[in-house]
Amino acid sequence: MKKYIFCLLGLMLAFMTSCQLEGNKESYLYGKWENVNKPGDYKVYENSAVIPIHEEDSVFKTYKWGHEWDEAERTESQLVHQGNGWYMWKLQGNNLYEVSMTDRVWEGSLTPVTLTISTLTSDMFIFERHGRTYTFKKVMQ
Amino acid sequence: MKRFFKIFGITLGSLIGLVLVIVGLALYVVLTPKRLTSVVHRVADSFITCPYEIGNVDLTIVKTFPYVGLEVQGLYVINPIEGAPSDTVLAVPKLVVGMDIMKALDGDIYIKTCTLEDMEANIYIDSLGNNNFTVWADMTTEDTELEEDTTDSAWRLRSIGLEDAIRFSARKLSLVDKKDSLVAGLTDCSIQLSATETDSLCHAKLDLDANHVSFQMKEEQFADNLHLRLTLPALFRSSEHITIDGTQIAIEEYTVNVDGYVGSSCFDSGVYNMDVTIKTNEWKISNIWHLVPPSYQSLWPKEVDADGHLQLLAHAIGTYDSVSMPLIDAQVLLTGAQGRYTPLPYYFDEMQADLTAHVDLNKKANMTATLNNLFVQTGTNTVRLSGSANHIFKNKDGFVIDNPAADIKAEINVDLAEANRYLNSDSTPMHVSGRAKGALTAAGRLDDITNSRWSKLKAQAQLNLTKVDFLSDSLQAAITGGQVNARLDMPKDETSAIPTIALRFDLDDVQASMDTLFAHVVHPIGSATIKATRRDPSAQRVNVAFSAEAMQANMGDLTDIKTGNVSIEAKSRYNKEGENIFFKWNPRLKFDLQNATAHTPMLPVEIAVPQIRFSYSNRDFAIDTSRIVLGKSDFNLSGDIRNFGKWTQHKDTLVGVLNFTSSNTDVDELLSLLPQSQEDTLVANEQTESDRQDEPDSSQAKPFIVPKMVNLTLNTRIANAHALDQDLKNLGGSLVMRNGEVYLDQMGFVCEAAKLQLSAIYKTPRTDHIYVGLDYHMVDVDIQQLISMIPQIDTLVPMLNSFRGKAQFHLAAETYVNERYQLKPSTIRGACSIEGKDLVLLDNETFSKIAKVLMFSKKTENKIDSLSAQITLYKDEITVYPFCVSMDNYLVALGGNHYLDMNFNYHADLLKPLYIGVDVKGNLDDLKIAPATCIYAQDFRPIIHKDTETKSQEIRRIISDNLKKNVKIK
Repeated sequence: MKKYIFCLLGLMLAFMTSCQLEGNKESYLYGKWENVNKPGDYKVYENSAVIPIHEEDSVFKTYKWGHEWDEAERTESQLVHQGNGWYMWKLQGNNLYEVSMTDRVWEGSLTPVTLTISTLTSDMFIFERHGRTYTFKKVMQ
Repeated sequence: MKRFFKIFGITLGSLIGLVLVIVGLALYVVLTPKRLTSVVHRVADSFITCPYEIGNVDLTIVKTFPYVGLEVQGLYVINPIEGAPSDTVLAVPKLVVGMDIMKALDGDIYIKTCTLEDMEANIYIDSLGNNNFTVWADMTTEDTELEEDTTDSAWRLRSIGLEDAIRFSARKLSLVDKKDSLVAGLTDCSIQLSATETDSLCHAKLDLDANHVSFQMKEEQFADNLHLRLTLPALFRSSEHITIDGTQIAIEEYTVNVDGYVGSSCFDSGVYNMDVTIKTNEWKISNIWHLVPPSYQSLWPKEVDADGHLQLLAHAIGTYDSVSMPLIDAQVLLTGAQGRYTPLPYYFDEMQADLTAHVDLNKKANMTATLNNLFVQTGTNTVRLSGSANHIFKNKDGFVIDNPAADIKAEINVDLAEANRYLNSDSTPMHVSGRAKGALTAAGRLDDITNSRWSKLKAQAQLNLTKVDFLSDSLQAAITGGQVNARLDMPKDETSAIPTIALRFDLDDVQASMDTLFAHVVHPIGSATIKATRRDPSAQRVNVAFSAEAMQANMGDLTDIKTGNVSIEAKSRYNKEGENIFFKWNPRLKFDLQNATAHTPMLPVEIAVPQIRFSYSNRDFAIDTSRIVLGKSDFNLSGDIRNFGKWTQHKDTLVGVLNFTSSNTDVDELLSLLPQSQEDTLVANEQTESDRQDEPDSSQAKPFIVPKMVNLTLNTRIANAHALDQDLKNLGGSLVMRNGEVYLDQMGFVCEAAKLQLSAIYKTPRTDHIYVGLDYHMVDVDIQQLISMIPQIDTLVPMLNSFRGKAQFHLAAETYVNERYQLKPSTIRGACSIEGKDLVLLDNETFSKIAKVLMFSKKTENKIDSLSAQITLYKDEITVYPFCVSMDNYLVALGGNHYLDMNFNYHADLLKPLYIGVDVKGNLDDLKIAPATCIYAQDFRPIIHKDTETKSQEIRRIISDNLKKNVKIK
């Protein structure tokens, strides 16, 4: 019996530790990141929860807001708020799910993107997608 | 009885004869020639102050019957003066004077008749004013009192006077006035002066008939050897009023009749009242020409060579003195005239003129000249002109026309060929023919008329045209007939106001051609009016209207345009305060075109326009109908656009709804009509190559910027269409332009291959940042038809080319592009869903390679029960989320991604009957297929957590559900 209790406590500790670690990892994401290999390519992860307006969007209530832009093609100010360039993001383990928004097409048309994080520190963010590796450094908290 | 009369007559005759013999004897005894001569000498001494000679004086009765008379044989008055042509002032070879003998015996001589035969008088005045005729003693009154005779004769002259008549028979009368440079001479003339007095009225009459009259003044010969006749009857009602009715002056056969009266309180006072009418007979110009002094002949324009009959009528009434002149109304009539005006290449076969003038030399403004009628005919051309002019006055230089206000009316009937003389030039030969008949009126200042300052005039013209042809170089035009009216009115009061100009034409038929161009207008009717607005006289209103029963235009044998009834109405009100051209002119337009067709080599089919009718104003642009039939296609556009004017002022939004309908549209035919000749293709290719090499130039191309403040909707409804060899039905949807954005809202149609729905959006927040988005749905689409209709789909889903059958296709994508419409990959977002059932997997090379790796049996049937693939577009990558297909006994899962550069990274798993994976990587030129471990088993054939939805499936569901939300077609 004692063995089961220790085992259960161990599992609980491990779960809590993993939750703690995941929470820490998500906090690392907050801020402005710049693509090391493509300067001017920025991503911003906000600690701002998505508040669904429509009931069918409740699936996104666990997501947070973020936006990205490439200075070579547009500036941050040219982004339409919560439109094209904006995305909802959710971190689950090493998978970072991003659902890209659109300016207009056609309300509800969303583009899901899944990034696999290999490294996430307070100033370094490396992820893989479709076999390609992208390295970002934090430029602003 | 007979005997009685015989005896009585003999007795009476004897008595009369006895009396006459006694009287005669008494006279000859008492009034002997010697005694009479003495008496006459004494009388002459009293009157004549210079040397003179008087011949024998004899008594006569026969020549002066019923009066007793004196016959003087020779009276010569001699007064030599230096320079005079003769020292004889007066020479009368024979003078007969009849008088009242009884009064004469008392010394009062009242001359009843006086006859001077073969008289010769030479009057001379030298340059100092000295003359040779002041040789008479004071005899200013007829009752001249003579000095008392101091001789011892019992008879003495108490008075002398003229009572009845004087007759002159002059051989020569001459006047030489050196002071005034006058030389006048009458030879072979007779003069008779008579006077009678009845009831306090004195009738006087002067008759003069001179066979040879000469007159020279200041070395100018005014008359030379002319026959002059003068009849001057005068009725003296009082000393202040002389009526001269019936007066006639005739030079040769040219007469001047004078009627009226002349009056004066004192004829020496220089103040005369008159009411005189003068009328001439008809004078032939060529005949009187020699009567005109040479210096006056030079005043006649050398360019005028004319002959005809002139007649002058004049009426003078009023007072003549040093400060005033009588009013004169004069009329000049010209009849039967012919001639030419050398600057004009015409000979006038007939000219008639009737000119009147009202002359008031006292007031400047009251002088007018009126041309009652001027008729000119040259060949078959006639011009009839009438008019009037005022502001004629007299100054020290004579009569001056001070830019008179003229009022001219003309009737013309001319052969337009006459204009060829002016139209032709060496550089541009022109020829016009035809006939113009009509009336012209013009009123205004003469300067403005002569200088063609039409804006200052009031003019009107009405012309009837008949068979007008115009030829110039390669241009040829013909008008079979018609009427043209034109009117020009100056405003009456507002000098700054706009004149009214009106033009109206109604032509039968107009044809024109130039080179290979030909135009034909049937019964064109039009009008144009320009006039001032009521509110602002300085602003103008313009109204234009045109209509024709039919029109035709050809360009060679290939291009032919025909129309039925055409009607255009345009109105404009100018406002100088308007901010732009629309508000400056405020146009209002109505256009109606019916039954038009066009054939052009650029289009192998006929363009037919059954009707186009629209109206435009700054507030409202309304298209009632605009039907066009092009080959097998027909279109009709109607609708209403409002606030155009205010929109140009940025004050309001342009609002409108247009409806585009078509019963049939053959897109394939329309596309085939586009010019795609080999040359065009070459040019296009060269242009493309040039663009690539010359980037800076091509970068200057500007994109379409959607205007702001626009809210326009174009509703389309096409019943049947044919496109890409597909028959389409019920095409409909809306194109909306609103606030800088263009929407294609749920454009849908049905065809054999699919049911389609397309929405799109285009917005231009900035020139270099343009948004393009589309939402595209196809239901029951044949996959192969889909690829043929949208070849780009092969880029999105390359493996789709391996399937055949019916599917659903949903695409939503958006991106930003730059000003050259080049994609901005970082902005690409999109999702696509393809779902199908009972598909057939085509046996192509790639499939064979994969099948070989997956160890498919060669007997495997390629049928697939269902297919559901979701694709996302994110930046430059296309992700195909894993999907599963069931084929015979096989279950295969596919998924992966590729980039816009067509580098692939796909994976396929055979999940049934065994687990085998395969990677498909590389590009189309170097595709590498290699075995790999299964990675989709958990998604499509989970062994554990069978009912748990994987994240991939969740995403796919989200994509699919969201895409289908906007599908309206069923």
